[in-house]
Amino acid sequence: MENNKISILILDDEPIVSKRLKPSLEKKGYLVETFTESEAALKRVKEKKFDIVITDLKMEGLSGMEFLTEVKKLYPDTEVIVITGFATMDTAKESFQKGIFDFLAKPFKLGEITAVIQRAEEKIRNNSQS
Amino acid sequence: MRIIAAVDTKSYSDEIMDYVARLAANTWSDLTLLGIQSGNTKVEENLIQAIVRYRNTIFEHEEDAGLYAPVSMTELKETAKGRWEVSSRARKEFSVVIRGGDARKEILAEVAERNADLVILGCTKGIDCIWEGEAYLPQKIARDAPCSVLVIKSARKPDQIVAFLDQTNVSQESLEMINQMVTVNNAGLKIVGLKTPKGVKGDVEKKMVEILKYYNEREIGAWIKLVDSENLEEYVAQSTREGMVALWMGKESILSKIFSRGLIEKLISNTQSSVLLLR
Repeated sequence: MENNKISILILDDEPIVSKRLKPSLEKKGYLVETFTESEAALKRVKEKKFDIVITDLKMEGLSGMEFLTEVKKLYPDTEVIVITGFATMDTAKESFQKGIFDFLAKPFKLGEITAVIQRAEEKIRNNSQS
Repeated sequence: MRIIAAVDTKSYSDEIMDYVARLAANTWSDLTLLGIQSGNTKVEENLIQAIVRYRNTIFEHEEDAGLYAPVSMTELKETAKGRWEVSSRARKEFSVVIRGGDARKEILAEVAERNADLVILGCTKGIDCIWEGEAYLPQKIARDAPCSVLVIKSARKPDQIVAFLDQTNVSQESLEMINQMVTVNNAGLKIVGLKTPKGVKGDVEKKMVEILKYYNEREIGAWIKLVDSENLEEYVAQSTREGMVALWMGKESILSKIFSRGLIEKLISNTQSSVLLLR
């Protein structure tokens, strides 16, 4: 947390997803960085710890599953939210086994993902107090 | 994703439940079973019994993934006149809501209250599509709901999704909803675009190639068919025999102008499988 603000990294190969989410989350006071390529996002998480990571699963190169595995390996207490346009029971189960916070299938409304982020933030703030 | 499955006590509601359960389990959606009854003074016992069956089907499909927490019908609470609800949350929210009164009005009110992404309902197989004793109800919901609506007339899993997209203006949400339907059904995808009698303009062709690229990059085997706008109605009718028909009917869609409200109703009446109206 920087200055008590929650930092969020968004990784989705479709620019429209970040374009929709970033301004709305920044307005709510979050520090947001967005990426469309998983390799670049991985490079960034190696430099900086984010409180929340939101990632797509199906991407060219390093997949979202591989990316979130790396994130959890580096920072077990970073809360990871998976967003996917190709949800299956198996990918959801695998993601939860890797310790993600939540799994959202696209399409979702802004309010739905914001509510999930708020629950993740609550958990992070509670953990930092205890 | 937030899904509402509107149900009554009839066999067509039973028949859609496997599909609802599979879709909800695979997309990890918040799910509401919305039971509709005519009376609004007390919950009807036969509806409770039907909802218990539907609930059990939902829980069978979630494969102990901890997706939903069980709810008991004895905990139903009246939250407003003629509306009862019980909800639980595990990883996702599962709710049973019962509403008494005019079916169309009650379904649309719940859709608005929950800000749902998708409403699913079944109906009888004939052209009048009777639901809860009322003819043409699925057509009215498809016409008036602010979100996407899936009307299932045949519980058979579709082998193919035939998606009619207004390629000049297709929404991201529509592409995403189609992705999920293709994934859940393990179905093929045919994308139908529109051409004018003068042929295909350069920008239309470019957009269609972009849509095809979008799906190919996501490893969805899609192919494109261009249809004259004049022959669209006939082609849509023919496609209902091929699998699930998906039509983007957003406010900005050309399709919503070509397809009058009456034509949507006719499409649902005549389909033998399922119709998905995307918004």
